Amino acid sequence: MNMARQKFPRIASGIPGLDEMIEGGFPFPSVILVAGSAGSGKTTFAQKFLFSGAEKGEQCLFFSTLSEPAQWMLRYAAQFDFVKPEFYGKEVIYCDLGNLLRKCTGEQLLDYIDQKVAEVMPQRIVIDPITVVGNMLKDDYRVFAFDLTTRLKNWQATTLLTGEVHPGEMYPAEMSYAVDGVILLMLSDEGDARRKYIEVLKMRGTNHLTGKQSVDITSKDGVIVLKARF
Amino acid sequence: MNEKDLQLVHSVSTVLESDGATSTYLFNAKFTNLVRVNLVLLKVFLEEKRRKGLMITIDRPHQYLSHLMQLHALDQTNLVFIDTISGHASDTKGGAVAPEFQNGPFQIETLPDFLYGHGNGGSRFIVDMGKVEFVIIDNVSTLLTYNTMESVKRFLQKYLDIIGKTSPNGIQTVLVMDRDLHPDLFQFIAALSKKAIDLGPDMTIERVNVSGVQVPESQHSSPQTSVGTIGVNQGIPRNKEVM
Repeated sequence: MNMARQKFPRIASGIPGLDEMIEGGFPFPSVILVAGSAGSGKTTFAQKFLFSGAEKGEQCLFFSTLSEPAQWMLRYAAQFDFVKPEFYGKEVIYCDLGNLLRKCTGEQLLDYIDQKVAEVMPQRIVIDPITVVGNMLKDDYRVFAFDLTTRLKNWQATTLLTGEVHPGEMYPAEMSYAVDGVILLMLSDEGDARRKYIEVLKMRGTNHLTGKQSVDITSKDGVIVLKARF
Repeated sequence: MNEKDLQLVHSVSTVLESDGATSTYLFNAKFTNLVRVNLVLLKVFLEEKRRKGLMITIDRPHQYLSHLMQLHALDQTNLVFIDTISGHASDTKGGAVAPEFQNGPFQIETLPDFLYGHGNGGSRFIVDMGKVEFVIIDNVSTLLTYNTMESVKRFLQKYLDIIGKTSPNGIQTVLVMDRDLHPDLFQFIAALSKKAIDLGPDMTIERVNVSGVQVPESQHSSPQTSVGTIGVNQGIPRNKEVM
């Protein structure tokens, strides 16, 4: 059978230097895990992904779980130039899952997310962080991860799930099987300095660059991949 | 639906003619907007024009669009979903059951036979195609994932040929795709279409090409007044004989 390779629709990540590493952007639809330890830039990465979509008129939805209430996250996010309050409540909708997570089952959580996504019809979604959900649910987390990623893609959106990484752990293993892409944000002790790196570990359907690339976090652009500058 | 979507409902309602003829309309929209455009089209046909129709789902299981319609208060009484993909989706999302085209998206050339009861593409299809007034395919370019370009073209020609010959009331078929992603397929379908309509990223109609002639949107306004010829709101439940 002669089937030409189909061009994968992709959306720009909004992270300067990253799209060059992943054939032009994230597959659409897809679910991408952005994993890293505390302070590695996960939430900043996710915010930039959303606001760059909002700049293009795309609809964006941010679910916060049990890391940092939206109230406080937004106060810190206000330091970034790309965070524009005029998008709040319009192109960028925030939804706090914290209270629901304390008392619901996996199926109830999926139904709630379904309902919110159907209401907002976003092209970009963030769940920050997803890893605490596994600790809260009594259900099988692997099944939950599979159902969550399946549904998010069928809603026709590209979703970033942020994942907390514990000391000694490279990435959250269970979620990494269910997602289409895994991006690691790393902190590395080098002499007296602590440097930040990014690595694309997995990106389905994409001939991505491998290996660690240096990153920086600036108030203008958020997370930027430094190698792309050279 | 937001204000932009509602404005598009009005514009699209004007562009889709109510002449009772079997015809095809092709919409060019950015891939990130396909869901919104499909919802707009359903609102136009089901609410504005009060038509009966089919929604053939290829991109994702029908439950997602059904859920969206429910949330946006769109009555699904006069709509039948034909689901080609749920058998391959491992999706647990609940919702009304739709007739399943068991050949899946892989043997799409057999779909026209299934619709008209000539083939064995699944359980007996129970819609009277003589009463169908519109068909939307969500979405046609996804077929290229599962079929060759030639196969998709043969399917479209066979489908349009069969509805042209056998549908007394005329069926409007509406296809939405992103021209930039599949320019060859777009060109092929545009040649078969009565109108090809370009939607901008802001969900407005940028231009309308009528059988190859480009017409600026500002000169293309012929308000529609007629409604579908088949009665509506007959309260027919899913999984029963419809239409």
